[in-house]
Amino acid sequence: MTASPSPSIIKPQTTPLGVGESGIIAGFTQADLATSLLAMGVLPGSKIRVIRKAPFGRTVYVAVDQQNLALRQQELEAIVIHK
Amino acid sequence: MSVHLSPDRNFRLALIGNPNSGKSSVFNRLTGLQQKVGNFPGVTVDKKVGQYELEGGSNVDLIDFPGAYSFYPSSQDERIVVQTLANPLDENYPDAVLYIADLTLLEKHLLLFTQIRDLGLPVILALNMADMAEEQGLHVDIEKLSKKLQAPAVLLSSHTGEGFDTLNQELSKLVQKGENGSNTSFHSLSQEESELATKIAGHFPANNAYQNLLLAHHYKWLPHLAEEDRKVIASNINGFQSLHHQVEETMARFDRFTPMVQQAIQRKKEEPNSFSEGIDRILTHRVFGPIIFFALMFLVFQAIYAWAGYPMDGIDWVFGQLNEAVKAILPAGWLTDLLTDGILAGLGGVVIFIPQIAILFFLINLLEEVGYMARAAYMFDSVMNFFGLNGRSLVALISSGACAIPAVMSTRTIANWKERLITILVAPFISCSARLPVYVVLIGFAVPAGANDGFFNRQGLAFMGLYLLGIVAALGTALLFKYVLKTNERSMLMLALPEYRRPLLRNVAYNVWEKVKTFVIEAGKVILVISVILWALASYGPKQDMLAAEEQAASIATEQALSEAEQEDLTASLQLEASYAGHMGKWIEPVIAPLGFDWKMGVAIICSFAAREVFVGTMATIYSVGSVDEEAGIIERLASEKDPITGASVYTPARSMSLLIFYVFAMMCMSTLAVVKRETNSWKWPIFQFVLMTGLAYLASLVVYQLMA
Repeated sequence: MTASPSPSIIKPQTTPLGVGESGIIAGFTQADLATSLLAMGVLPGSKIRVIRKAPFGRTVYVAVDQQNLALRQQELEAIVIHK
Repeated sequence: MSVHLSPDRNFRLALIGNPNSGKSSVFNRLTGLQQKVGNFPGVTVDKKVGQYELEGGSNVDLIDFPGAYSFYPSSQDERIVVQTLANPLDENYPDAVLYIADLTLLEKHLLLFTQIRDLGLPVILALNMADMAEEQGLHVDIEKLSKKLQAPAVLLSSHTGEGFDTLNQELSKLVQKGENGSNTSFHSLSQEESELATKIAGHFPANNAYQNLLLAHHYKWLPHLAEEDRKVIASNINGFQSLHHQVEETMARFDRFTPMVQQAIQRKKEEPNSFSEGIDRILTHRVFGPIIFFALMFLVFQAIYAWAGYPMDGIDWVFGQLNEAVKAILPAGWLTDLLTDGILAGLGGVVIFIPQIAILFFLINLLEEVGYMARAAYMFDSVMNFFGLNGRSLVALISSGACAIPAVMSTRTIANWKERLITILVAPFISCSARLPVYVVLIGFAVPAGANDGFFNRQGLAFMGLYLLGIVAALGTALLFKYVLKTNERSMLMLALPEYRRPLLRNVAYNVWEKVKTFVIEAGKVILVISVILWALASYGPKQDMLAAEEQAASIATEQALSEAEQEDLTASLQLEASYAGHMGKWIEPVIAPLGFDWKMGVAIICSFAAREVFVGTMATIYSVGSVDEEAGIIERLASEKDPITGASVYTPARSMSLLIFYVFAMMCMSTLAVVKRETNSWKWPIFQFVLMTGLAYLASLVVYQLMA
């Protein structure tokens, strides 16, 4: 397999997932957050599930494939997800 | 025969991997206690170097790099890896790389590996956590993987020690043969990328095109580039969209290695992280989570107060004995005084903190090793973020309730420099254990016991109020800094929540040992110097003043028929007044008078700049209480202190409260300042912190005294 000439993964925002919902990652809304998220293995095609919210609000506990991550809401909203 | 070029130095092996890959466990296993801690050039990021010998006698310098995900870094810590590997002339540029990946998350951990391989560096891939993978029913065909990735691969478990023999054999082979890295690359540069790399190529000593491309991506901040270098690159950039290419490259790499991993790995169908998820349902629950956290922290503090007391008493006793021994052996004189009251007292002041630091670090590290601290950071991130801090700041702020020194040192886990700096700056506002003796002595004067003190003991409430005041000050100033300090770094969380696992006590022990050692050496130097200066100020004064003080004490003693011990106490008291410290106390009296303080309190404040608990000892000397049962004695003595003119009590509620408030806010701990200097790599921040905290203390005391008096 060669490096795919991937279409740009920067896409318009979708409705963010609520707690308990899951979906497949399609892309990101911002390039700079995308590089950091990609580096951690949050990839287009990955399965993402929002497990719970933190006690005081704007931090979420998500599972991306086999990995659990804590993200801030703004970072979750930068991920384009197809339900 | 060894092929690496300079025979005058050891083979240099870089240890690199993602955070949570178990890198430091591997480091500890390989090097044992043969490790040195230093800094990477120009930054405060810790660099651990360990030496060890391979079979066949070659010596290896193993350099532990901070955990990183990619050559496109998002934190200061992560930058170290790319900044070193992009510059073949860097003092830490390795001969080869030992790359650690978590086998259970292999699909996520290979990005950086493929980037390193594309630099042409020889890489050995160690698949760590083999024991856990086995428990999860994960099977890997290591030969297949090694062939696909074109790098030697070894199964490893830093918990059981499995695989380390094989790893050492592979390393020996590598060192002996001086193998070159692979020539094929994982990522084929796009036309635009390779054109840019070629244009830059002539100007820099890079090994290959990819290294040149990294210069083009990071030329704005890479520290080894000179101003002209930046200009050369900038003139060749021609609208090269760095971010766009970073994303494309990263995607292409994942596209390339994901199928390779999938072909080499077999997983059982069940969800591998159901165990940790089950625990987290309770531990990170919206209601129970924080409750459990505070209960745990309560236990940690109980442990510190319950356990640290014994070794601290022991240390006190040892230094007391040493003091007496020196006084008995050496003739009385300035040298003996310098040794005992200056140097020994200073050393004692350093060593006395070790039990608290060690216990606190042990317990916090244990929770970190298990995987709990990442959860705590997750739970409190929103609250902390409101105040300009990070989820991880919470641990530091709580540690500060025991002692600010380990708190400041624990901030290294905070990736964002601004959030880390704010945490360091505000943590000392939290009331530490050294403020306790001061509170104990003064609280009775500030809040006289009332008639109906039932359940709501007024002094108890005042105690709590003082602690709350510290917390409010910490969060308040943090909020202020959030808007004042500028940074280009984006504030993010993106925190991996690793699987819960049994802690490796060896790792915890190494961490504790390293922190204690750093504290003793780094802070110890500064503390010792300042202690000697304070000793000199309190023991010496203008000659005629000191003599006059002695004579005056002698004549009063004869007049009032004092015992020998009483006369000694009186002499010490009068001489302290006549000393330079005493003069300074009188000199600052006009400044502190609006707060209600007299020169005696001034002396106590000056002396307790060394450490707050010195306050009690200094008050004892000033009021010539002697050294028997200081706290009770001093309380009694202060109660009877009358104004010579009006005859009114000196320690009025207003004055005592003002003094208490001063101790809540003021930065009076040179050990903390020394550690802040070390952690921020400059005197700017400790000086700023000192001025800020002491200034706030002054204003608050002024307001309190003027309102109450």
